Amino acid sequence: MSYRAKILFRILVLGLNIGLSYSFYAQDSTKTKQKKIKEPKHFFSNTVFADFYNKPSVDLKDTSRIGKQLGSYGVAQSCVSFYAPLLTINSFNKDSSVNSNFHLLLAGTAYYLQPIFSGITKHTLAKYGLGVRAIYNTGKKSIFFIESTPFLTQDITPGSAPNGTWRMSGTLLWSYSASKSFNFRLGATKSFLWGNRLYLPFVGIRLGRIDGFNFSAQFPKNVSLNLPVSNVFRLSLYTKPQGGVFNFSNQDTVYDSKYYKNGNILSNKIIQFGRYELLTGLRLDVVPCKWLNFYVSAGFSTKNGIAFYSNSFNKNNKFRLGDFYANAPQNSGYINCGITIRFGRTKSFYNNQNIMEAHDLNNTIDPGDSNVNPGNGNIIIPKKKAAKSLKPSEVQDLIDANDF
Amino acid sequence: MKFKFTYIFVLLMALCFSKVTMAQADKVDAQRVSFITDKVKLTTTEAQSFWPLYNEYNDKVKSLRKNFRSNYAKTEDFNSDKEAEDFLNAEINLKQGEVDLKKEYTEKFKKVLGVKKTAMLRKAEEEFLRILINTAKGNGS
Repeated sequence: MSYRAKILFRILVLGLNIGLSYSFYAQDSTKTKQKKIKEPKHFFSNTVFADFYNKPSVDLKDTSRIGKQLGSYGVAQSCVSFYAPLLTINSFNKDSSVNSNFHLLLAGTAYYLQPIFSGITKHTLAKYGLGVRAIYNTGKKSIFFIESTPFLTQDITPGSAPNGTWRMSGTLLWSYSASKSFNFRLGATKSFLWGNRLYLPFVGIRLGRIDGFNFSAQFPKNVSLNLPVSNVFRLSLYTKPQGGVFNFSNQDTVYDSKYYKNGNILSNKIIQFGRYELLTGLRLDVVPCKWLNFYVSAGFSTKNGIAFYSNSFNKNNKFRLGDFYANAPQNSGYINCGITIRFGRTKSFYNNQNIMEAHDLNNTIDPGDSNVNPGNGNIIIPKKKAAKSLKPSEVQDLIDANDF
Repeated sequence: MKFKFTYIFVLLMALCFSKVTMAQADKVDAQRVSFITDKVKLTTTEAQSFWPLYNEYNDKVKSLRKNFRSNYAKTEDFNSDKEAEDFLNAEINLKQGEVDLKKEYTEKFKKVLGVKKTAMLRKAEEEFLRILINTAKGNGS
């Protein structure tokens, strides 16, 4: 038999096999179609969250050439981010006393910033990030967290030169829960949150239960006093930095090379805009169900800082960027709101302190280095009061029909 | 733009409240956990080992029941003996599956909690079930 004939014969046999198996199955009309509901694979649900922030313009009160050109400064910001679990490995040791797990998540963000300067064009600065994060829960007292989100920053103002700069932010953390009411975190982070490229230590401490009243200080991300009024309403008094470094089209000639020794006419098209502010406010999270929470927040924006950086001047600079203009705008009020939607079933983690810590870690460190917190809506606040009225359909998976 | 935001908001609210029934089941689940926590006095070390195991056990039992329900909840009549036979077998398999899980996890709970506390856990579960049934019965339908 020739080689070609052999191949043809094999294909024929394979085809016959498939055909026969199918016809056998199709003929079995008495076979009932059984749906199979799989057990949830992950502890993290697919999460999408959006955040909107606005603060009014304040006069820069600067008589320098650039200060006069810019006029006043305000901010409008919006951001949509997501997490999606890619892989979960959950295991128990031999005597089932230690439950360790590994979680790999995909995270992404699309962030739009409008620094509103009265004297120049209204710029829209975008940041698109996509990265991964891994969380390893040892099952004892430690959790390790690593995330890296490369992002592209781009000025998408109509008429701006095509541009884009890739940046990398990342965090490496060790979280240790000495008890339910005491947790500390140590690590390092590369962040642009403070309006410059900074390599910072990460030091965190939490006093109080994660699912109760607690005080949490997570430098450089936030300091907060969290008061869950009920499972549905959660209050938080917080202070957190907000900012970043963004590509900024120089179409208004904010950077004019003739004024600078290190200037380079070729770099004029794109400069970098850095900003930071410290937000201190009150946030109310509403968690009507575990698939959704939304929040409103308001407070004061203090310690404002803005700066412009020349690309040519910072060409070989791998650390803190050197600015050609900096200003400290006045304090102002701000408003902020957001919504978080979660999709998909997850494994239960009631009273599982380590998984709750892992969720908190994941929520504290947002993708894309924007310090937008989706809230701990997926952490259930324990409620002792028994339900007053229930329909059997609501508890059908908890009770057997014969129990009635 | 404002219209769009209002529309999205209303849509999200509708989505949220359509899930209320399921959210209520979650609340009951959370209450059961609180009830057990109160009744079975667990040490920190015991709690750390016990809850992941207990959650896993519950997820498996719920999954078994959901599977059965998704296949037979809407069945009011059987078209053939074969279909009826399948139903009976599925019901027995469900009960068998539940017993197997109970057996397997009771052994695991015993390793983590000891025999006495495992028995206390079963008593607490039973007590909570009684409260739950009475509440559901009181509500009718």
